[in-house]
Amino acid sequence: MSSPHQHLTWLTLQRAVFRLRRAANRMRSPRRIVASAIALIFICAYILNGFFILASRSTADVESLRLWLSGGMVLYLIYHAVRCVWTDKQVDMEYTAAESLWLCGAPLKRSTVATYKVNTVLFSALLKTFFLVIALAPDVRHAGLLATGVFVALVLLETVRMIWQRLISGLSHRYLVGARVAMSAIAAAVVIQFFAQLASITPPNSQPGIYVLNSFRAIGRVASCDGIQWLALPWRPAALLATTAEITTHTAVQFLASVALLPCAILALVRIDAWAATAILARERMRLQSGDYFRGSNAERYDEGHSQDDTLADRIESLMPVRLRDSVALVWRQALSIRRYSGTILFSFFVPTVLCLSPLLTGRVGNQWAFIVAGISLCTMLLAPPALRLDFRRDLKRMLLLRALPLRPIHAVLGQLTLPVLITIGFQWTTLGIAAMVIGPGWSQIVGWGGMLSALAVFTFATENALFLAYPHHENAQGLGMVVRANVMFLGKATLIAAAVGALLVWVTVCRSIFSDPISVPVYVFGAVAGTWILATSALMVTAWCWRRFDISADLPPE
Amino acid sequence: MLSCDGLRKLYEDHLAVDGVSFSLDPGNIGGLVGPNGAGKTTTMRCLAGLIPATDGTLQVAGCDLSDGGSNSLMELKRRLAYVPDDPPLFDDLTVGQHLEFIGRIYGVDDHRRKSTELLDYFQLRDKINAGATTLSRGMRQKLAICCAYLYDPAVLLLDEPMTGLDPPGIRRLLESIKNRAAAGATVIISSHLLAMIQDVCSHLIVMQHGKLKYFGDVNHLRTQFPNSKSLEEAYFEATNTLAAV
Repeated sequence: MSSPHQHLTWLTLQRAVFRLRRAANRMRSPRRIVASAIALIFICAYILNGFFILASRSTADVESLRLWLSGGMVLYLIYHAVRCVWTDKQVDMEYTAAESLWLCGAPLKRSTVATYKVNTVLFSALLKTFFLVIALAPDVRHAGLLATGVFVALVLLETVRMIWQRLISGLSHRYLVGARVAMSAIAAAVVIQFFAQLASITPPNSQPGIYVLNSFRAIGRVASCDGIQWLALPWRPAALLATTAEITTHTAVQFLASVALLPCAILALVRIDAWAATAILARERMRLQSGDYFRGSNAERYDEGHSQDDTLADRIESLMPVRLRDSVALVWRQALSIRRYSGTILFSFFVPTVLCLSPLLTGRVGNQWAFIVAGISLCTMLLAPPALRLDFRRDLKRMLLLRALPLRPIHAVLGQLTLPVLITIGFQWTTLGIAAMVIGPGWSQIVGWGGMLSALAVFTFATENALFLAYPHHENAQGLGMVVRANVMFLGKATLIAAAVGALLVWVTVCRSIFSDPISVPVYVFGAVAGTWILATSALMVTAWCWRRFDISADLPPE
Repeated sequence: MLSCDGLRKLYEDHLAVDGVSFSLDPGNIGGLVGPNGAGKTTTMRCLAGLIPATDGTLQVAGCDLSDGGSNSLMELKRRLAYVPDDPPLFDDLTVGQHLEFIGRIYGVDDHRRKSTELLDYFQLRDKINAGATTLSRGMRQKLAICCAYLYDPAVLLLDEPMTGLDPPGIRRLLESIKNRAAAGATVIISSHLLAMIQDVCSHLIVMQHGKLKYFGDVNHLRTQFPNSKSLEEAYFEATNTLAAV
């Protein structure tokens, strides 16, 4: 008689084969041929880079690598743990709707289904291992053991993340508040430790660039510190295995220890899952007995909230230009979301603001403004899009609805992008304003950079959405496509920044050579602002074109 | 056999089901009806063991769900099939693979022959190798029903099963429900299409605002409202009368 695990293994294999075939078909589709080509070029370049360029670099110290691997996992876990405690609604084990119905509804133990869920992270762990091994192979003697150690560590990391998520879902409100305070304190301690390490390894009065370069070493030192290493004990066997110099009996022990931790983690997941379910039900029963629930009609609650929303809509309509009144409804919808997540959004921008202003602490006047502007640019391009995922990127499941709205493409784009862009510009001008008050860089710098960075915000969100509409993906999608997409996007953005800086330098040089000093300044400032805004406007037009081209019958990605 | 006594379910601060009690014997077909948001789906999910009841006792297919024991739940799942409204399917399995998976998990003897018969009955045979994403709404519904029928459950809970089905599909579904009830299964159909289910249901369970408004024999409802020519008219009279009280 076959066991449930065998049936679930069969299910996993069938789904994997189906997905591989489907991925191959999608890659060959004419609508995705450009993305497929870029992905293939990237993978080839990455592998070639790994073999020919990374292989010739100076190798890292093995002990440091070991501490990085184990400590790095813990730092990543702390980040996810903080995110998790501050998330309002926890998803039950991240099951899909089909898994919730057919697996949770089948005569299977919850532990069996939990094991199946852990298996589904194996493929994404395998992919991450592939990319990491290529980068780290020159630092170790046995690439196979490196791959095994990294793979096991990543699977353990994902399992512990699920354990934490389930634990949080079972906590009462009082304990949840306690968990939020505790995790925030731990995160703050890590951040303070990072800055302390950075200050200790960087000579005083160094250029801000040195601080940036030393930040990676500082993170490494945080990962290596005793506190983090104690938390990283479960990852120690995998880290030791990955960095093995000589294969001895210890290697076998490390291998067994690292692999044995996985079923222990799954068992912990099952126990905590059972506890959480019992705790949630017990709280429900207490609440029912105490009568602490809403007894009136939902219409009363609806009327209260609805009148506030009406006022907000009227206010937005009064602020928008008449030509763009079509977009009011979309902007109003964004405003409701922003109101709901205002705390998260404020926090998401508070930390980058502090980081961008950190060059003010270095004591050197000359380059501080440049580094602050560079920091704002990087935050705009890299941090703002994921923090303000309020545009087309969150509406993949509602594309049919959006398509049905009587809006011209450009109005739909403006409706979706207005508020995220305005929030980003708010962050930019706040940071610039504080820096300007301290440094006093002059009107040309403030006006010039204020104007250009605003255009950068528009350009960034327009490009992100254009790419999303051309090659849509689900919010929590994992897999080779997403890994390649993330890397290609990062490289693309870095190239863009470098090209923009180069173009700006060329423009300044041209202006200075053609115009004399009093005139050249306003010419290059307003010329640069106008040029960047022309690019930003073009990006918006491209996004509108992508939205017009979007085909809900062909472009929607599978689950 | 299905018995529900004082069922209550609280979501956060919203009491979705408030003291619902009814029971059905093998061979009975219960029509679970009520306005939108009445608590019908929550009741079915509690009966199916997918969500725990906050209060009340549930005896379904010989399993007592009140103790929350995992053994009772496992046994219940072997004997019960729940088909939700717009059933989600695995996007990365074909029609045939869905039935293969159900056949394996439930340990159905000769599941491939039974799958073929069910696919023929519901006119899905030519879609056996089609991916779930390529199916229309009605086809997905039919596939979910085939999966539910495959292991011959003692209790069938169908939430809006006719939504999306073509007329032949509706006729075949209703015939199959009657046949299964005649063979001893207990069936609950939640539907707004009263005209369609009136010839099939033996009992009516009327819910409104989470409460049970009427439970009883369909004929008894008609005798209570003798001027009503159909079940639908009797339902409207019943809910209007009860709402006015």
